[in-house]
Amino acid sequence: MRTALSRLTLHEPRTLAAALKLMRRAGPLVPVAGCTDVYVQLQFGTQPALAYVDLSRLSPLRKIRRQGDVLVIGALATFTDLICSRLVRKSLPMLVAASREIGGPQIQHRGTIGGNIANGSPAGDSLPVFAVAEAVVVLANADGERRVPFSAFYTGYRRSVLQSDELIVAVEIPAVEGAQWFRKVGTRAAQAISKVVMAAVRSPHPRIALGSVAPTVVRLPQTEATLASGAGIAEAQRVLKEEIRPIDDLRSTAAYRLQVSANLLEAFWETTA
Amino acid sequence: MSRERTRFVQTTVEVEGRTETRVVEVPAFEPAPWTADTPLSIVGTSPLRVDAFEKVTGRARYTADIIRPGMLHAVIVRAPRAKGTLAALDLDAARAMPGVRAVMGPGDAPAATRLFRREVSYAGQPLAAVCAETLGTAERAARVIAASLVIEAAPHVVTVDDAMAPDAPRVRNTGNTTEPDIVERGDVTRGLAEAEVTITREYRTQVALHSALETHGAVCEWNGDQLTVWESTQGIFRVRSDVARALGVPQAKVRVIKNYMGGGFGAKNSAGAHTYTAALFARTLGAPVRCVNDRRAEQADSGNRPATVQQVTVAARRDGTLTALVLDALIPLGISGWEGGPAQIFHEMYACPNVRTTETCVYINASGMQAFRGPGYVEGAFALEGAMNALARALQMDPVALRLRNLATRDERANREFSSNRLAECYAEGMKRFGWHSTVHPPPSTVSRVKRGIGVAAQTWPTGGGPPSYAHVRINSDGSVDVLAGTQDLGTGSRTILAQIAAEALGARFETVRAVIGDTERLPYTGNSWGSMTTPSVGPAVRMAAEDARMQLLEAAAQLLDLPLERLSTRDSQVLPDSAAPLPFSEVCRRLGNIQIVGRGSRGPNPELAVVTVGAQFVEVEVDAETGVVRVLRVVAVHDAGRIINPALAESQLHGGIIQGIGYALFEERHMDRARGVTLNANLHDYMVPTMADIPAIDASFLDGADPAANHVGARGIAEPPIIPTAPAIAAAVADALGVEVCSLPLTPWRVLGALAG
Ligand SMILES: Cc1cc2nc3c(=O)[nH]c(=O)nc-3n(C[C@H](O)[C@H](O)[C@H](O)COP(=O)(O)OP(=O)(O)OC[C@H]3O[C@@H](n4cnc5c(N)ncnc54)[C@H](O)[C@@H]3O)c2cc1C
Repeated sequence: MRTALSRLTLHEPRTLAAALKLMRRAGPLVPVAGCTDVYVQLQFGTQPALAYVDLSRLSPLRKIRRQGDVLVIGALATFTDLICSRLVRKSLPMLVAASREIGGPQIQHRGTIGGNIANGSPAGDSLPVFAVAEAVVVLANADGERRVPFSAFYTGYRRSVLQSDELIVAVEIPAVEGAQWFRKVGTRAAQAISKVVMAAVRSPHPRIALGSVAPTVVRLPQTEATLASGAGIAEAQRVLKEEIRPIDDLRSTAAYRLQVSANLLEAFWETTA
Repeated sequence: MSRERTRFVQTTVEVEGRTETRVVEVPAFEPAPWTADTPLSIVGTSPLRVDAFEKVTGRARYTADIIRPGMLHAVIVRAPRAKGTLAALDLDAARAMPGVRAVMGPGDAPAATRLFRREVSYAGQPLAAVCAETLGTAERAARVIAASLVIEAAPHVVTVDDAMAPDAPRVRNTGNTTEPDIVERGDVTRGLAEAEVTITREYRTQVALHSALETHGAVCEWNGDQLTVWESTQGIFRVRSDVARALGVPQAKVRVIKNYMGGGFGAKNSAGAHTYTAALFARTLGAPVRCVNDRRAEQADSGNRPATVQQVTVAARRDGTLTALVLDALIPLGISGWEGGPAQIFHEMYACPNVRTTETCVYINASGMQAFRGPGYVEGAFALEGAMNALARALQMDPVALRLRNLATRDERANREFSSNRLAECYAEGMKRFGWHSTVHPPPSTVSRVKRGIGVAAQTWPTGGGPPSYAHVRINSDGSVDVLAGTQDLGTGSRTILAQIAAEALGARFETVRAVIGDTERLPYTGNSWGSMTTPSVGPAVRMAAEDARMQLLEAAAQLLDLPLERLSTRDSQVLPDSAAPLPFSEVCRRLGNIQIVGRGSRGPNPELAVVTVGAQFVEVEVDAETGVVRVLRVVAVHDAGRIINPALAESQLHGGIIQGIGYALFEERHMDRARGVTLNANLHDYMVPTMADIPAIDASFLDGADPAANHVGARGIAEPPIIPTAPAIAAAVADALGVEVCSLPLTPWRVLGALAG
């Protein structure tokens, strides 16, 4: 596919408004942010689209700011931006931890959170963080914006509520109470696709999310309730093993994912005690 | 040095563990060996590798970078399933596409190329090819042909268990297995009876892919009836003879060139489908044609290290003395391959009197194996060294002490003495560097989730090299020097090493010497760069050529100066008379006018000795008991390869081997879909090689010294040996950390966690 690139059209709008207008009028167009997923899809021949829109010039979408209690991260913020941001380090350290584990430095410099969310891989490493942070995804089209709770964003394996004329413009994260915890398990020390990835928050109502164990990132309401009820960790692990149904694939086995998820739950509970 | 008439004698040469007897020429003279005490000033130092700047600036042109005027691009269409008969395909639609220049399918290539057969026996097998003006067009046309393939599927097998099942479909007409190859010495039954401790294990190793950064590829161009082939290869002369035979043209009309190479690791020893495809299209179309594997083709069909299933028994007395070693191995080769199996190291590594190995090769419907860095020994060492470590644990004996007790003192397999074998010193030096005795590791704790462990394993590997190998050394009229040898550099630094040897022997300054390699048309023959043989094979030929050139220069200088020969010597590109002022080579050559001094050298026969490179590796790992993830913290490697020509280059061979060994131990594994018989991870995304972040501190070193009994340069090979002990050493460290053994590779998190769960 490499050399087929010449057959592709790339639009390069300078403003968000222009980009959204293009998405409406010249669509369907595939947005490109850091291109770290799109490039691989082109290489693997799994991306049939011929027309693309480059978002990388829309620098306002790269901003990270605070609005009252809410942390607002622009969709074009890269993982390196997140790692370097004092705001994020202070209020959402688990997102910094996740960003540090994504690919390697090159990917962290280019890859964006908008791309991670829109790509919607069940192994996307930032996704469990947004799930437990109860983030809101801000979507825009030529008519205006709408806000979708992260928990309602995905509708299935790599499917979401994102419409063909819409872009993700930001993620809004309300203040998170309690100790944050993140852990990624991969085979290699870098460039590893998660076998299991967990983000969690220790509070009177603990929140737990897992990646790579289901078609989308998942919250574990029953496990959370068990922990909130004061039941022991062993009981919570038992509930967790009922609650998820991971699969066998190239990267791992279902039994492994189940066991490690339970082990991570215990590790979370012990380290945040 | 008087010149006698050349005579021919028989000698034995070991290539990748296979012993061959050859008739070879005895050189006119052999220089006296460089011993450990010979003072050398260029050999043994680490000048910057001569192609360093070309490589880091991107100026070095690899085969894939060759662009010829009017060059066309060829792409091979490969079988999408593992077995069947090609019932139909449509080449016309592709042929009609704009930009497509030619297509080939069944019947269009000479039989000797074995290309485009209708019988499909593995997924990835070449079925057709297309040639177009751009690579993009060729790829699109290849997809059009692929979509038209109709294959009448037949049942296939891609695992050893399926191939061995009673009603298994036949992979070859002769059956799915070879006759067991049994090699025995001593009396194993008695050895087992004498044992006080017996360890029995089943070890399984995976299929590993070479994954060289530069894929297989060729650019072919005909000029009249003369063919030039630029090929990424470990053997330019081998490619020449392959192409000449397959296309029915004289070798004299075929020229093979290889300048730089991004890795071969054993998979690039001959011409391949890409070579023949490019050569055939280039001939029909009268234009240069490039055919280079994409990564998917490379991972799916360019060779592999075959899997093994090894039943091992080691038997010993309570003091650790081995009484028997038994191996029963199954080796699923793929559709083809050779029996470079795990048995050999069982016969060579230890001084055990009773050894029996049984190897059965199994054919499966998968791409055929190729030699892969330390073939057989890597797989065998995982089992043998694993079982030795298990024995040490059972005996509660230090694993190094156990090995020292059973040290091989001669090559029992071939019944020969060693030219030199300093493995005991490697252990001693490694223990010192690692702090083997001082490292205290607490018993496995149930509290801390991260556990540490240490492990050791060792290696032997036949690395004597041998004839034939020829070299010429020319002294130019300004005193600079050309070294001409038809060898090739896989990335190991051959150019630099050969220039060092020539400069040393001539007494020339290193900067004035240039080694020219990689061209069959202009250079004298040397063999393939395999079996870690290039330095011990070509090095002595280059030294002899340089000594010959030096003698001629001195004889001429003696005439010019009117001094007897014995009063002259050379250093720093100068002729040094014992009484008069030094005379630069350039001055001698100026005075000689247009006389060109050409020294000729060849590699002499091998001694009747076993020539081996040995070494020991010590490893510390961290295992996360919660996730099963293994991290290697540090590796100490001490090997003895005789004289080290260039320590920096040799050390980087150790680094490369150890890193590849870490990949083999922890990550790398070809996955096949049993139902469809296709490779699932034919890419570098799911076939995982180590990243920089996975590479630990590596302390790599060599014993000082030389092996003058092996050859007169005193050097042995080093490229393959370092990968051999890495995986078993890591496995031993994991077992030490967890208290349970994992006997299957790679040591993936799920296997480790599974072992912990019992
Ligand atoms: C070598 C390598 C290693 C990697 N390692 C990891 C890893 O460890 N963990 C991990 O989670 N991921 C990993 N990835 C995947 C990838 O880097 C991430 O998903 C990254 O966040 C994608 O961001 P991007 O900006 O590059 O997305 P792009 O490739 O530009 O886009 C990805 C998808 O999102 C869409 N998109 C992008 N931005 C928007 C937007 N603003 N609105 C709507 N749609 C949009 C695109 O149309 C496309 O479908 C890796 C990728 C590579 C190549």
